[in-house]
Amino acid sequence: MPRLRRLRPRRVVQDQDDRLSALPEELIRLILSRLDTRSALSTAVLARRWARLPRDLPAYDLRVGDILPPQYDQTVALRRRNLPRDTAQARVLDSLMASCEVSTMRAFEDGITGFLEGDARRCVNTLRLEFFHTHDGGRIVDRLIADAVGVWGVQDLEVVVRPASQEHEPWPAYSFPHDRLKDGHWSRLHSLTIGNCMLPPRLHCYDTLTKLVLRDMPASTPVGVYERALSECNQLQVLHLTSCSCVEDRLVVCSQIRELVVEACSFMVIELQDLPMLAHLACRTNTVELVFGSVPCLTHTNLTFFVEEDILVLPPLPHHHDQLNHFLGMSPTMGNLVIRFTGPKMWIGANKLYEPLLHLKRLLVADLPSNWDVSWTRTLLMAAPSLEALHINVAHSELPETYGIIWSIRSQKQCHPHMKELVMIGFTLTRLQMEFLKYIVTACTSLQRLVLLKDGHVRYNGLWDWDMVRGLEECNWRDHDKRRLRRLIKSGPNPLVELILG
Amino acid sequence: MATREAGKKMIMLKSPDGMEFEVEEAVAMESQTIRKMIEDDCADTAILIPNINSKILSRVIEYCNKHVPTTGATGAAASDTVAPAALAEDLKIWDAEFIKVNRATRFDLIQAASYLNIKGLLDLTSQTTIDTISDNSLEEIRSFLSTKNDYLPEEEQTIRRENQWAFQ
Repeated sequence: MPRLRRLRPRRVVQDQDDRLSALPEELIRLILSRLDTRSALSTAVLARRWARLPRDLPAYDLRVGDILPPQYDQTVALRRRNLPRDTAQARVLDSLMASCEVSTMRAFEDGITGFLEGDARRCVNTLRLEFFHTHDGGRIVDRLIADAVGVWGVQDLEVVVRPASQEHEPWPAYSFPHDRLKDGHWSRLHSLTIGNCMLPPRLHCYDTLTKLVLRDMPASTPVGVYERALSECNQLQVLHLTSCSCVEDRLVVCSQIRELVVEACSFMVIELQDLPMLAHLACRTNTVELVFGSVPCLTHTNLTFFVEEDILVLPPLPHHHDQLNHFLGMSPTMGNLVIRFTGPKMWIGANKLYEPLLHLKRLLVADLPSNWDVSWTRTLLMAAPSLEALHINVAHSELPETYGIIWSIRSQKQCHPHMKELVMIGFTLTRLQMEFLKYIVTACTSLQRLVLLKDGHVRYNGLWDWDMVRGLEECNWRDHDKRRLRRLIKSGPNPLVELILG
Repeated sequence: MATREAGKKMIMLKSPDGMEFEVEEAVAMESQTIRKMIEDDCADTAILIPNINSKILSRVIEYCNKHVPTTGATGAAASDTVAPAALAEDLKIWDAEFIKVNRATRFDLIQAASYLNIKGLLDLTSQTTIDTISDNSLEEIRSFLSTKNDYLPEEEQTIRRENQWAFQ
């Protein structure tokens, strides 16, 4: 009979009750790795056997936010509310914040020094640092980064400078301690996150870097910084820009990266000029234009835009978002698309796309405000001849429904022969929704399934994949409504469509 | 190999204390260790699982039994129809009931889950342990683990200094 390899003999423990200590060390480490760094480190003082366990954790989180006193956040909130009315009070709050930041940074430095003093061997893969650049903090962080990358073997590094109060002398921005790293140590990093600090000067030295995340870059950052990051990191596969500001409005991207995520940044126009390998794109920022150049491998796209302004008083061209062509021109090749256009008023128009989305198979229209005309999505259907699944999640809005889009007679004669499935969450049988359904059952000649859910949500698997999830509550459908829907299906070319209500 | 229920392949698992458990192959394959054995074709009759006694093994099988069909269902749901939220909720409640065992059993389950490489069970057991440890003072953890502090005072001072970050 085959048998599995024997387990290593258990350690003989005198005290049989201490079963956790009786577990093999790698298992204890695995359990410790689920604790936050501070709790995991504190177990070192339990007993001798535990001393070395926290030295080999997969990740260390050293964030000043973890040791800030709770009243700090209250002060910050007060300061935000006060701005800019009462200058005297603002000054008091600023100095409170500043003294709190200074004392917390002293504690931070003290904590970090503990790691730097001893000669204990440490093996850590990920280090996430967050600190105020107000005091001597910068210098100790420099030393820590040098040790972490050079000695501990950190491959995945996050360096984030937390914005401090206005009270301090303006310090020059913290710059990544490129020169503290020895030759060759640069090529140890695989993933680097930089938040609100200066990029290393010679990025091409980081020749194994595959993922770069830039966060909270100040408004004074020239566009050249972003372009340099793209052009100098030869091996880069993934670039994320989160809450980054820039002097210029236009970002032009040329790179070999496979994944680009731009989130809450200040760019008005993003031009994807030459991205031969790009497969995943997420643009979740209030860009008014996304220009597709050469992006031949794009398979997954997520576009999220929110427009607050009243569309009746549009800013002058080109600063408005009313056309899908601003986002999906030049026939991009994606097969999966998530579109999340939101705002108090329907700002997207129903203009035809100039170029079809030939490869699009799955489309999610997420969080569509309930006051928008759902038939807007027909623009996408018309542009996507291979579309198989259309998923719409309607989000409840208190605002009154807008007038419906007036579709031409010609557009009523469309046919979508590949459409197999429509799932709509937040279906409330409104007139516009019913009209849209009527169009779907008429125009989608091989429709197989119609899923209409009153309650539910979208469960995202990352930014580009999703499941439509039915709500927990059982929803009751009136017989009258059920009959109406069945009649509607029967009126279409394919009366055998499976109807699922929930 | 034993076959039952409309051609479902069955696998015999044996614990060292002589108990035998007949389980569906799909259930046994929740364990990556066993999956590998089956895929490498070295599990044609029965598998002896050393060091996991029948009491723990039966609990592990109970866990796999509960978790096997849902993995299949969610997989299918992702591709073409709507995922049921209720199932996932039910499973969470079931897990919470399942893990209400004494400490010794839980540690045995951790070891079994790690050895048999069952990720879900390992996550569940270790997270439960973490939940009992966190929010407790070191003294409480020590007494929970029945560990004695065997440091000399100066050693403890050094180790405290090294891990100063924890005590800020």
